[in-house]
Amino acid sequence: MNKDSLFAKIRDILVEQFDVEAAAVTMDANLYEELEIDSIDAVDLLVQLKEVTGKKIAPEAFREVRTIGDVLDALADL
Amino acid sequence: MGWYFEYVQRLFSTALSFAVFGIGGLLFGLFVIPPMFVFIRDRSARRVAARALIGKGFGLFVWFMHVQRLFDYRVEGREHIDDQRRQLIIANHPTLIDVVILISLFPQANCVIKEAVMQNPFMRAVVKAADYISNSEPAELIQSCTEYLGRGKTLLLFPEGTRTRHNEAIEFKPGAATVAARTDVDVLPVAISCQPRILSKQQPWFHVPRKRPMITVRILAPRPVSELVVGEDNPRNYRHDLNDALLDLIRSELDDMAFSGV
Repeated sequence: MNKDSLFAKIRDILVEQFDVEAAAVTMDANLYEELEIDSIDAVDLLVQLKEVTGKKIAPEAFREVRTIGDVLDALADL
Repeated sequence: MGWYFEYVQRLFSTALSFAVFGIGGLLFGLFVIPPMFVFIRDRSARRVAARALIGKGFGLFVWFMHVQRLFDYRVEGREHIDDQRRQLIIANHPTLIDVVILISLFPQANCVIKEAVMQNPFMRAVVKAADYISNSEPAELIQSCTEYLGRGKTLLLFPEGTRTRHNEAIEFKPGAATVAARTDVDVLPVAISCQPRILSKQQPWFHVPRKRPMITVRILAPRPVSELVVGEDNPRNYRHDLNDALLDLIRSELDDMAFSGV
């Protein structure tokens, strides 16, 4: 799965499940400060990304993640 | 000058109490817990026995601190004390002492222990025998808590995640409300005040006030989660609303306690 379609997938999850405005979802958007994702949402997001990509970002790696771009980078590193 | 002697005595007693707690934990870990691993092979039977002992030990320790007049304390709503039923105890956490009092009141309740305490040589064996939940992995933590409640037991959580920072309103992290929302349990709210504050998040142990502190533990009636949030189907909004409802419950009791001067 390429970066663009992964980005679209993350945007869909954020919009449909976490009540985030689609326009607010950019590569630089901070998950916690701008998109109001809390630690529980982050865990749910990890689980769903694993279902989509088959890759599991380690919780330690996810702790370093701040923006959606970071999420994509973390997935690309696996 | 009258306050001065009492102040020095409480300073000394505080140091003594820390020493007694550490040594007590170590002796327990060296001489009481290892035989339990040998003679009680069944993990859940050992857990029950270890927790019963910890409850008695903590009760004794509260008595020990109280006879040294380190603080006065009062427990309201004793009729709601029950550590055998399926429920989630939600308490605020103003001081190190509240957890000792709560565990002496609800010895069989499971609780979440800081990973640092899990590794602490004074406490490790005791905590392991009691089979408490570690906070090391957030994702697994929620799972462990919901599973434990699924087995019909009592779980104690401090939703603040740590002791209250004084001069700030209490805030809850989302974990406790998530556990409550996903298990649909009864919640047993406990509001705790400690005036003047001692052993809070920002205080060193020797920060002893002139006036003897009063610790009030107010246990409210248990109530089902489904009564606290009505008409919200989205799971994420549900747990947010539940968090707000739980926070309101505890905050309004704390306001009431502050108003009535306890």
